[in-house]
Amino acid sequence: MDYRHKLQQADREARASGLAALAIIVFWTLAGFGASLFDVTLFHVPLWALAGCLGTWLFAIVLCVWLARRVFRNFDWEDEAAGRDPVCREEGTAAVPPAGQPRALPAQGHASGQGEDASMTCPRGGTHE
Amino acid sequence: MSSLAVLAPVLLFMAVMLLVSAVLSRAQGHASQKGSSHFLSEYFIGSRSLGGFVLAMTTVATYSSVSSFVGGPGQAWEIGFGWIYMSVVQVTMLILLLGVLGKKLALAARQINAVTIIDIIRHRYQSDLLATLSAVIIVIFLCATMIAQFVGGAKLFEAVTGLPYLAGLALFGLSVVVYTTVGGFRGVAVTDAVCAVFMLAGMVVLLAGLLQQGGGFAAIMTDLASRKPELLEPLSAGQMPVSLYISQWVLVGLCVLALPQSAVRCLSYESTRSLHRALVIGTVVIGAMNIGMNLIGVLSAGVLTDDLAAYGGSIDNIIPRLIASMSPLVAGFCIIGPIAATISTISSLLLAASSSLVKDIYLYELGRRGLPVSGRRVTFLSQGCTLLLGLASFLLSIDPPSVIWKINMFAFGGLESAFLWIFLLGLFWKKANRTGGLAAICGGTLSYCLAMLWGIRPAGLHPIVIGIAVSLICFLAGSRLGQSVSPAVLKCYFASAWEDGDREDGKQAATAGPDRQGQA
Repeated sequence: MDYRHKLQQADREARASGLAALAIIVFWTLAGFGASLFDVTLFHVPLWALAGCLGTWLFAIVLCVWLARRVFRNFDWEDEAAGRDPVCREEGTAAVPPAGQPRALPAQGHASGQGEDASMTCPRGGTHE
Repeated sequence: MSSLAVLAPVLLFMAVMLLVSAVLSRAQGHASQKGSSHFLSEYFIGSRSLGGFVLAMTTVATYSSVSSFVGGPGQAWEIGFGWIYMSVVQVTMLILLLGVLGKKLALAARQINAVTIIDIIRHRYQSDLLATLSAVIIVIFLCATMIAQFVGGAKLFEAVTGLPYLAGLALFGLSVVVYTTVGGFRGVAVTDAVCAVFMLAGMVVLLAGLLQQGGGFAAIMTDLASRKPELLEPLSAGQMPVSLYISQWVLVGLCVLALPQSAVRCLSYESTRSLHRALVIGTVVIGAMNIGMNLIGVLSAGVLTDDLAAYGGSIDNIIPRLIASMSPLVAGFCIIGPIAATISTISSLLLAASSSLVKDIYLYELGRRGLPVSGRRVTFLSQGCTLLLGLASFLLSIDPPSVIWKINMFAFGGLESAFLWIFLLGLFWKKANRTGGLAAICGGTLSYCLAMLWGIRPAGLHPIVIGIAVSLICFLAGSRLGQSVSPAVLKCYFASAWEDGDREDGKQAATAGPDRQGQA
């Protein structure tokens, strides 16, 4: 999977997670406030408390398992971790020039990122400001 | 109560924390030899090597603070099952944090070699000003929260052991500062995981002791149903209005993904498998902790049956009083839970604040000026800043100035108002730009703080809704007015930016085609 497809997959997963959160809100409302309309007690606890608290928790766990098994996909970080930096090479958009990361200036031909740095220098003007 | 018997388990626990941290700090030595970039990556995000279990536990432990173990259950004592119903909304935390932000942040962080959340903000919005502003907000709010955690933990310690406030503060306060300084992120993450396990274990022991004291679950529930029936109602006879439920959904349910100390965990895990595992484990654990501790609070109403005035007039005294009523050894073990919750939060806040100061402000400024910094100096600065920040917070906790309490009160919602849209729209809306980001962080934080200060509560809702709404309006307006971010930057975050690029290339090729043919 290349970087672009990983981003697409991450977007799909984010959408599914957002919908899962929405589903939890709906379940929580119905199981708690909805069930409180009925005067039922189970194991000395009102039904609304059991369904709204334990039920919501269990529903969230089921959704997480579903997300992890059915929606989320595994991929490796090879392209990113190798510091190949195929995306951010345009001058003036130097990714994270600061803080001990001696990224070579784009003009110097490559973005090292993983290099040795007994002393570090960073390119000026990492941002547009 | 025999102080020594209570102290022994806590002392042992703190010794284990220090030992674990010291052992894990060896990774920093190896990283330091490879260069300062490796050291920073190791010290602030553990070289992106967290497995699923540790990622889940450190995320939950960072989020669960002393109030989850003391203040929250104290409220449950007063309000009843409605409080558990309200607190269970936090089961969405892992889904939102890891599911929505987790992979995109991890991808971008690896792409641009980001070590902090602010690295990502700086790159995505191409703005030093926004990055610096973010760092300042993080340092101020996190330090105030840290001090409040120190104070909360020390007060609990004092209430349970009977030892002076300062003794407890020194015991766990200095330990957490030392082990965070020594262990860095890897040490913090692993000790967080140990803390989370002890929180769960302490909770189970406390629940067992409580049930024994109250004559069993059925007896306590029957007593509550006859003596305090309002505790079994969702609105708790008006003590839990619907507006409070909605506010809590926003404050501790949906917006928690905007907390920088939690979001940084998305930069630190090893593989996508780790993230998937953490999602499930974390949701199991956070639900167990929230339901378990608040259930203890509700059930303690069947054991601590006097009016609140009999417990010092504060709900914060309920859980300490309950723990103190156990036998000394059991109390010593039970107190580890809240102490673990306190130190796991402090350690993460301390490291997040330290990384903002050292990496995002100081080292970045040096780098921008082209000034060289040796690897040894980076190591010294990182550890020195963590130590100093921790010691300063510790000293301020001895007698905190009132302004600290005010900042702490604003911290949680302030961070959410500042960063929610910056994270969400920055990662999922291509048109988000630095003008929008700057407007959102200023407008959101300011409006939230003012609404808190003036007690503005629209329709009885928490001022967080004002902060979030103003922040969104500012973000959208700013992004409309501001200049869009370079396509090369957008390619780090949006698959569609690649398609735009392809279309541009196609157009250029189509334009260049006839010329080439002509030349031929």
